[in-house]
Amino acid sequence: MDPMLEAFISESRDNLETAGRCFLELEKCSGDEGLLNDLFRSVHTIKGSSGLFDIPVFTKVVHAAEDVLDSVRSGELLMTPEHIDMFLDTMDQVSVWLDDLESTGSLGDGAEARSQVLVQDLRALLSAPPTVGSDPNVTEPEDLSQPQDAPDTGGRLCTPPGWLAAMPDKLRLALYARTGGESLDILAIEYTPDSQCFFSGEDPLHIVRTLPGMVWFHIQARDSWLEPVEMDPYQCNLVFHAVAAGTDNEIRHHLRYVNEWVHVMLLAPDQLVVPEGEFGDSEPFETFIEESTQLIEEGGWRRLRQRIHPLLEVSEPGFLQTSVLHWMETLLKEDEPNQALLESLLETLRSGVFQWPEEMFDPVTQDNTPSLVEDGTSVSMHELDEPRLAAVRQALVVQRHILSMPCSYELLAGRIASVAKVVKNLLAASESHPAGLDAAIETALDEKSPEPLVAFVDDLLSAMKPDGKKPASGPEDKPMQREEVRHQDVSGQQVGGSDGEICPRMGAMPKQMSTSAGEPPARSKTLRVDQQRIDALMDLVGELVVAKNAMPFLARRAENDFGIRLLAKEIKAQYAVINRLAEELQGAVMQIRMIPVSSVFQRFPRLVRDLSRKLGKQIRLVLEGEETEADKNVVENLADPLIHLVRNSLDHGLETAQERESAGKPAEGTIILRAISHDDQVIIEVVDNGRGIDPEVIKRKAYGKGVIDEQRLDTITDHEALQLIFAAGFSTAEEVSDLSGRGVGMDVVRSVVMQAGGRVSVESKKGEGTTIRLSLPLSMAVTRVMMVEVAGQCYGVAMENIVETVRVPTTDIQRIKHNEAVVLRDKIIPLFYLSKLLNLKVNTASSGEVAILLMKVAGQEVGLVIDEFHEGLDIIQKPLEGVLVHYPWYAGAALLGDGRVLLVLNIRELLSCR
Amino acid sequence: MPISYKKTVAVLEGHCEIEEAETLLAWLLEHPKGRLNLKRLGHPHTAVLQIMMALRPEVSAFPENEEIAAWLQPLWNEGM
Repeated sequence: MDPMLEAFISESRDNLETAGRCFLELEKCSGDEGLLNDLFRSVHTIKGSSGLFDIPVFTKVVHAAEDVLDSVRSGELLMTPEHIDMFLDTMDQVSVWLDDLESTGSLGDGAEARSQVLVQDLRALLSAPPTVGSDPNVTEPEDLSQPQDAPDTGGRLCTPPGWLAAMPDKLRLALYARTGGESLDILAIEYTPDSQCFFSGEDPLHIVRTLPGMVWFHIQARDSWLEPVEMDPYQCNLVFHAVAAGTDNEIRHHLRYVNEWVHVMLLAPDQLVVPEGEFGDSEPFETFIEESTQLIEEGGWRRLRQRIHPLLEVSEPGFLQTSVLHWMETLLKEDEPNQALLESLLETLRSGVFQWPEEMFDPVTQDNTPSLVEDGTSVSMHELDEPRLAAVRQALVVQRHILSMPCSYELLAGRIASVAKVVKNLLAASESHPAGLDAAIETALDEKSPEPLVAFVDDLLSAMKPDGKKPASGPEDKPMQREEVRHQDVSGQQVGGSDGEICPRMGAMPKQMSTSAGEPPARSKTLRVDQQRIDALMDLVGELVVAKNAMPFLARRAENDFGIRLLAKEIKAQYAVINRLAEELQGAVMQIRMIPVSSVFQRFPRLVRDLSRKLGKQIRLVLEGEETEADKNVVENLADPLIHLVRNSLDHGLETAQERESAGKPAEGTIILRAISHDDQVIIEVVDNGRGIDPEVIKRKAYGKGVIDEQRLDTITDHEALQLIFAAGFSTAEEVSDLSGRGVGMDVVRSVVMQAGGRVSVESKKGEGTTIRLSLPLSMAVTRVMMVEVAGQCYGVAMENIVETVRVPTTDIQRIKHNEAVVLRDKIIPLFYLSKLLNLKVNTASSGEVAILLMKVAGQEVGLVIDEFHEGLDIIQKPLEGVLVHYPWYAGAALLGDGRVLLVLNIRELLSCR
Repeated sequence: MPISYKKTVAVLEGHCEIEEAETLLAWLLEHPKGRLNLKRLGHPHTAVLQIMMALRPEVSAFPENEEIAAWLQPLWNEGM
């Protein structure tokens, strides 16, 4: 695989993990800026790096998430648990895509569709009415609020962008006429190139000029131009607005490399209708307006067309009226002209102000539709009834507030447009048409400053007070607030002008900037190394250890075979030095492989959160000792058993809130996940304070299922009984649930832990809770084994299982039925002959004594009869490969100092397949 | 040379690549009254266009190519 992609995948996984953690923390304390910044950074990084690869659908989703997070960070959006749910879903999808990318190199089928859904959902969050900052008492009246201008990638009908009006009328008319015949996608494209884009060889103008189906485009400066002397010719400071007509796919494909800087909107032909020009003398049109109102209501299209024609002949170009007439004529060419749009156009003839009919964009109920044609004179707001007026006023206050909130450059234009839309609708709803709104919007958009609009809204507010009372935010505090807005705007511009992409965002958090400016950020000194390289290093160290172990043999030969004692001594001295170095090297390499268990623990907050929601229980998860380190393999092996255990505790261990309360316990259950390092073991405990396990129930169940026999039932202790939950085919759950209780969980846990060379045990007190303890070796790299000899062959036996080594006279061996046993310290120890177990030739020469290796296997002591004990030694145990894989009674193999191969026995397996 | 600099006029011809941007800026700074001849302009790189937009020098001839003129000329007409 491409090394860059590989790095991207592993890095993105880390970032996803960080993001996931942050989301969960945010749920607890939603306002934490540090967390939000972490979160934003990790998502931003994923987005940024994903741009390097040809996975636009991926980038789009992450980009959408980033945008939403940005508005959360700047305080425009409040994060709710529902939002977090959605984000977590998104992160899950991203993680699935990463997996797909890793395995197949592409995103898999259906990614595009999935991406669109996610993007739409995420963007919908942005378009929801802002919830932060507005006074809870001042809510926007529902019937007046409009979905705001949401960036739309899904092709939904949305408010057309304001800059569309800059497109010459003639072109729009022509384009509209074209839509009649062919099936065309009309796309409004807003392209704000990255200010650094020239350095990556981009030529935005070229991209725009070569757009397929390019109809018109327009170039604007993003920020006002600097003094020519200060100008940096290599910083792009332009915004391109373009309208293209063609197929949606083709156009998007053309823009795929600049995807994240482009905002594409699908337009309906009717959205092209924006009459332009100067509002001339309306007198000549009065008769026409009167007649047409009637005709439009009746649907007398043909007659209307006939009226328009002569009028057009006499009207001069450049006037608004002429443009309106042209549009009406064009609209009337259709079989089913858009009546509402025609009415709006007619209204424009009357008032000189054009607005799209509302129902074009939102399904608004009839009584809310402004009565545009009922009455020619505009009604002042004073005539509205008081409650409605109050509602309008409140809505205006909210809009004003939105405008005064600090905002990054990218969001500003959208915000102005959406506020403008709401204000327009409010005015329409209150049947008032004060002049100057369009002008204010235009100036606001041109200057990229919300101020003209704020001023307009302020004027409206003060005009709205019926008896000259001051508006909600009275004039005495008005100048100050305005000042504030101007100030924010200026700072935004400066920052925005200096350094494109990142800076405007930073503008939203000037506080942190100033605090962190003094000290340079701590640079992470982490190296990211492929695990295989570490493994290779480990192998080399292993070989070094083996080579080193050959030196004592050499010393012995020097002394015995060649008779040079002095040399033998020197070799031994050198050996001591090399031995020390090798051990240190080994320790150092093992240290590299150590990772904190937190990498496994991290996933549990999410698991517990999801499951406790699903189960309807109140559960708190406590993580302890996350910094405890263990070998990477050990930690990774832990993940699955731990998930089983935590699920079990959630499902069976902890009771529901009612059950807990009636048992006199706090309603909220607790699960503690604890890691402790203890000698060369790491101990992981899963502790819950739930209902505990009743040993009596376990005993009966175990007997009923044939796990233990009657005799054992009588003698078994409570503690031993509890351990039975790990036996195969044992489940106490009355019903099998979605989560656990299939009777395999605990058994699987045990076998996985055993495989990793660990142990598992359980403690429980009925009614008080359960503790499950896993103990695992800190590192699996070096194993201490004892060499034993049987039938002339040497085998290794893991030291940790050995209890003691004894020699017993053959006469002490007793027979119990066909089993042999020996009594040691008042305990009966069953005996097994290793030679028989391995099917080797039995050594018949009896010396009157047998060597017994006393071992603890599966909690029971057994004696293993062997021929001879040898020394204990450290080995690097390798798993068996090839044909030997199928012999489970060998745990692995190791190379000895003299070149021999030592097979390490898995006694447990050996005994079970006897 | 896509841009040839005369005494008071810079003539832009064909494709003006990004490398030209800096020299054009320098020339315009040196000749504040300098004019541009865009008659045979094919495609200006965005960076070159940007210089023109920012400094708005007088244009002695707009492009012959109608397509270019269609979007380039308005830039001089409106209050950029």
